[in-house]
Amino acid sequence: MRKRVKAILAAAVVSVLSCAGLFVARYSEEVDRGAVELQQKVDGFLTELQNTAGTAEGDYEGHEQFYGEVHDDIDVLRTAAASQRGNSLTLQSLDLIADNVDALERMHAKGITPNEVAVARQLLDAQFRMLVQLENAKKREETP
Amino acid sequence: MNIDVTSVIDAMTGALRKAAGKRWSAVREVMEPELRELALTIEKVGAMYATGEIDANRASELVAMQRNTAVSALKAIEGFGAIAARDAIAAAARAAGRLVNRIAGFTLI
Repeated sequence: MRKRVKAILAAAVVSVLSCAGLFVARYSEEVDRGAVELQQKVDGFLTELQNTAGTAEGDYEGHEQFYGEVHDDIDVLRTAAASQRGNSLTLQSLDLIADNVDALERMHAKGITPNEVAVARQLLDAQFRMLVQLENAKKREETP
Repeated sequence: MNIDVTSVIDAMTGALRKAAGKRWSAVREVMEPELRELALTIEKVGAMYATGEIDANRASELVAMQRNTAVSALKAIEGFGAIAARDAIAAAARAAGRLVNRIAGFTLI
């Protein structure tokens, strides 16, 4: 009988410990896949812009739609990430990427050179890589 | 304006190592290449400013982007730490669960 009581008490402790998962969101394929796709989209745009910056083809006019689309994509990822508890770091990382996309848009609107695009590309790429690494790190716990 | 990239990398690594604390060894492999990349962009912006390719306004716009990227690195480190702690607790809970089941004599958890 005492053994059973001990076991039930221990089970309660284990149940509380198991709630630790609530403080960090679980891996979300939607966020992971969405971040990789957005990284490729932004990198593709910046590769093209690096080649066309300084020419009429690289002017901000005609590219406004791209920035709008990126913000829409970030909003979709934000919504997916916000649907889980414990995802504040992913949300903050997405906001930091959005801030850098805004900064890039402001520079593009004023006129941007290929070298400046190259710097922005490296920085945004690094931000996306870190976001994807963070999402993938969440995966490990799911394979006991 | 000459920027010593090695010093920049060392300074950033030192700051992030301090922020990561005991978790540094776990995140080092991921973060060091990112810091190197970030330092190279700082060197590039410094060189562009020094040669007059960009003005002070553009330099500060690019530096603001670099600052954002550095904060992203800190967020990632914070996340890796939280995930490591969660995994450790989950492993402890699994081990304790096995023990509880043994004491109970049946699969309670």
